[in-house]
Amino acid sequence: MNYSGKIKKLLKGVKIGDLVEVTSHGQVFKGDLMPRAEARKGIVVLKLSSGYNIGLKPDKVKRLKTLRTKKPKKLKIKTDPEKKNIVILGAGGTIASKIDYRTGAVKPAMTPEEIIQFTPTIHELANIKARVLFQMLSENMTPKQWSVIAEEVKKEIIKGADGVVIMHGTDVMHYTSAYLSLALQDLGVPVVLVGAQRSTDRASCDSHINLTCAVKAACSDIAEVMICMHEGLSDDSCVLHQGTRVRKCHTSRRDAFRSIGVLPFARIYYPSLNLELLRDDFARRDESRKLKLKNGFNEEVALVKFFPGMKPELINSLKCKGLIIEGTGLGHIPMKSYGDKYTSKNLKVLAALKKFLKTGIAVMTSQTIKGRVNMNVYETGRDLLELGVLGNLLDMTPETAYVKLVWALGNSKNLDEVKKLMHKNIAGEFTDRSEVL
Amino acid sequence: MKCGIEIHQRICSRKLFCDCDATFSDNPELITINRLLHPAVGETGEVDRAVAFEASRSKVFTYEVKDNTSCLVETDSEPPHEVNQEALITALSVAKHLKMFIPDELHVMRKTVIDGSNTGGFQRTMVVGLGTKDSVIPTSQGLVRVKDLELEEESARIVSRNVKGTTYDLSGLGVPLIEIGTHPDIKTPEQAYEAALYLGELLRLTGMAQRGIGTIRQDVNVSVKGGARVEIKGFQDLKDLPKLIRYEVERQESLVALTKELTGYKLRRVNVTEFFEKSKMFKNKLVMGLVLPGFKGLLARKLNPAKTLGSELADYARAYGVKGLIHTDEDLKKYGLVSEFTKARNELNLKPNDLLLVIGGENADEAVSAVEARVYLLNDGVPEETRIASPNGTSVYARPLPGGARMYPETDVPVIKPLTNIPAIESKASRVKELKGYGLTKELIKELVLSPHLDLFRELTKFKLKPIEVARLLITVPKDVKKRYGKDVSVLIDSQLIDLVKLLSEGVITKDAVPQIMAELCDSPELGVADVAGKYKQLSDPELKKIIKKFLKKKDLNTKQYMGLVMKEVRGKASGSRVAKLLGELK
Repeated sequence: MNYSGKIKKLLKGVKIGDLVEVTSHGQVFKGDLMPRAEARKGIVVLKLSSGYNIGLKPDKVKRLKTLRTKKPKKLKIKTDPEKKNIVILGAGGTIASKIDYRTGAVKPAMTPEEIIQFTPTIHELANIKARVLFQMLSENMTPKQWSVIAEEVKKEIIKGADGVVIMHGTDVMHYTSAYLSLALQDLGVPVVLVGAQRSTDRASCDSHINLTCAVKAACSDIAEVMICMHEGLSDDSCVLHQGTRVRKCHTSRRDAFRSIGVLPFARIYYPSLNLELLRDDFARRDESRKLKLKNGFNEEVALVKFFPGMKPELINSLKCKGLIIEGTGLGHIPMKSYGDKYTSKNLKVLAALKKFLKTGIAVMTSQTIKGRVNMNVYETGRDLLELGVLGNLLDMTPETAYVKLVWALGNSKNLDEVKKLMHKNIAGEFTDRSEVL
Repeated sequence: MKCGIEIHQRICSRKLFCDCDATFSDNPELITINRLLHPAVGETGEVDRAVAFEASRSKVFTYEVKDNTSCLVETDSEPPHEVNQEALITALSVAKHLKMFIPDELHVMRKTVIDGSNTGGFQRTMVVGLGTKDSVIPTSQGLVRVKDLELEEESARIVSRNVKGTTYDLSGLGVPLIEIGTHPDIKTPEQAYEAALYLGELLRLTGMAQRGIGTIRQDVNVSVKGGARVEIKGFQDLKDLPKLIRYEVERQESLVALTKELTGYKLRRVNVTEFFEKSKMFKNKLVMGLVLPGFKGLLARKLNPAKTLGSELADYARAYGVKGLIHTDEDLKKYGLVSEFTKARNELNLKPNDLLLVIGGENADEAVSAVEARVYLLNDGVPEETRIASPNGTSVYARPLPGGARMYPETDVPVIKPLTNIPAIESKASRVKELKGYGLTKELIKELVLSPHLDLFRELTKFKLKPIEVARLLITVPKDVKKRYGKDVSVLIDSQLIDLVKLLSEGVITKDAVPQIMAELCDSPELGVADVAGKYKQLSDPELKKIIKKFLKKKDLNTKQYMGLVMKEVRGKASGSRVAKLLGELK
């Protein structure tokens, strides 16, 4: 019970859900006691018989009836040898949560029964096994969680999964997808990350469609790490984004995820579930291919957006080995003085970067998100190249570049080797040609 | 009978949970969005019966997004913003006026609605006031207790519906609504009318009530002895209320009486496609039939003056998207199906007393199941349900009554601590007294007292114009403009009216010019009042004299005729009294 102080004393012997009689301001109210979602003291929340909740300052609380809890029914799930075996791993987020409809409390929903109960259509597509890895809002994840997911995916593939679906919070799903793309090498089956932008309690939630399409994708022949989410505002299709070339570009829309600089691998229509390929440059399903897991990570990397008027202290304070610069335009930072006291500080930014590069690695990306870095065009860029800033002529998203440096530094102690790795295309993290899309 | 009413009034603030215009727009859509709704199973494994019903006929929902009346919030692509303060204050002031109990915290709830009229699959609503022993509505037939007051979102309006799905217009979704419900204390249809009138007037006294068709709706809950609670929604003219209640009472009483006549019966569902495949009406269509043993003549029986049992059953079929049903109590000649029915009756070995009804179309199977279930329910009298009022005074079946299992907290909006210093609503009596003090006529007072322009009127009386002229400008002149020029002046904003009164009080324009200026402003909202009024500026004495002299050249006319000619030329630019005066001087 999340009541405290005086109210807790008043509620002695009463449980959440019990029918109570509350006297407040001289009036008597009857209703079920609800938990408090917010910390305002001195208030109890009642659910009236009409279904409405109200908050009251109580003078007296009397218990009338104790809540009887029903045990949820267990579903029996049959397996069908004709169907593919798909494993769903829960890594938290909106999609893997459910609401207590009486109290409004959000809880993790992670038994296979619950997932199938939410989205019965997936059971028709495949034999589904599901388990929880962790329950967290994705913004709290660290590279450690990426590596745990990679390890568990490997375990399932070795055990014979024909495809793996990872239910994940959407905020940083594209970081995880980039990591898995790099760590799971020679993948023989699809690995699909999926999330939801609207909460699962509502009938309009996008999780049903996203999850159904994700299971369909996991049964497909595209043996890549992908993100499966809505294509537009309508419920008529999802797209499969390449794990290293995707980004969350909207706070709340269902189609928040967008492929950057490439087309998605495929589109899946809903409800027909017809899969339409949009590209053909992907690895085909081959269960006999032997998966190699390169699961090292080094957290000593920073991702810094450079901005006008940036102070050198920011760079000086970085205590890390790797730096991803989110530069301006083609790949620039403020570094030139025009003789006044303001722009002269830019020289100190340059000096700070120089100092950093003595022991660390810096990779240029662009805050324009779309397009290729080219440090050959302006003097600023050439000076940066001279300093040893990497990333020239690449079109990695800043997030993918960050994940790659974390991964590269984790898999090699040799800085020269890491530098080479950053310019080696491992999992489509950059393209060679800028297609006119 | 027992009867309670619910009043829903649209409020003219911005939308309840975003900053869109709170109006139903008639503009064309900019884009459309297609959505599906999946009913969520609650933790108890329970799906509300109204929700289950809607799910059983769930299809694609298409939403039209228009102009500045909808944004990502209405498309369920962005969380709600904070509750609109103007709407909340209005609701609180009404609750206070009705001496209701205002909770220490208001909790916004999600009420599950999956007919597609809410993009999220729920409607946001909150209790703002609970009735106390002092919360009563006085009527000539006794007091009616007020039960509760909610502030909630309006739902989207249906544009079209077919077997594939429903199209909704998002412009009205999220318009704030105040709902006031009474206890079932009402004993006669006339008392219901009085109580509804009282609440409607109270809401208008807030000055925040939207006006026009559809902006206020009344729902009634009716039950008779042996009957059940039936909720009737969707009628807009309060005058229809007594008739609607009378008809519903009759319908329930007829159904209760029918129960006593019926003895055990077993229905037979049959596929009758083969008997009808040659008919024009059912060509290439699935046709399902239902045999009702011993029902001959019953379907033609009137439940109330506007409804037979047959048409009642047809409503259940129509809820599944079919056109209706045809049965052997009807004149089959008008459908051209006499031989088909005869053949079917013979092949199915029906007895003379048996009744056959048929339904054709894509959803015929579901529709026949619904009718079958309803016929079995005739044994129990009146089922609890929600019905929609129809223009002929009766109502049609819409869906089962929702239970309590469909309300849960809206977690995207923080709990609201209501303001305590809410301004009370001025009473009608004190307003009438005030307006009398301005020297207004009875007719003007009657309209102005409930007008949303009352505050504007007060502001405008600060100018040098007579209050009665100000009142006419707000009440009478708009009607005149509508009649003469066909323009709706409600598009004019307060600042334009203020400018107009300023020009009038400074003598720059005359009141004769006002209707024309208003009409022109309706057409060209981009023009300033002064620009338009410039055309109707008062002529100076020398200018006016020059014009009068021109007409005086015509001989042998009387003063009235001269006046007429001059006024025709200078209307709006000089008052009649000035013309008469100068004419007298010059003649």
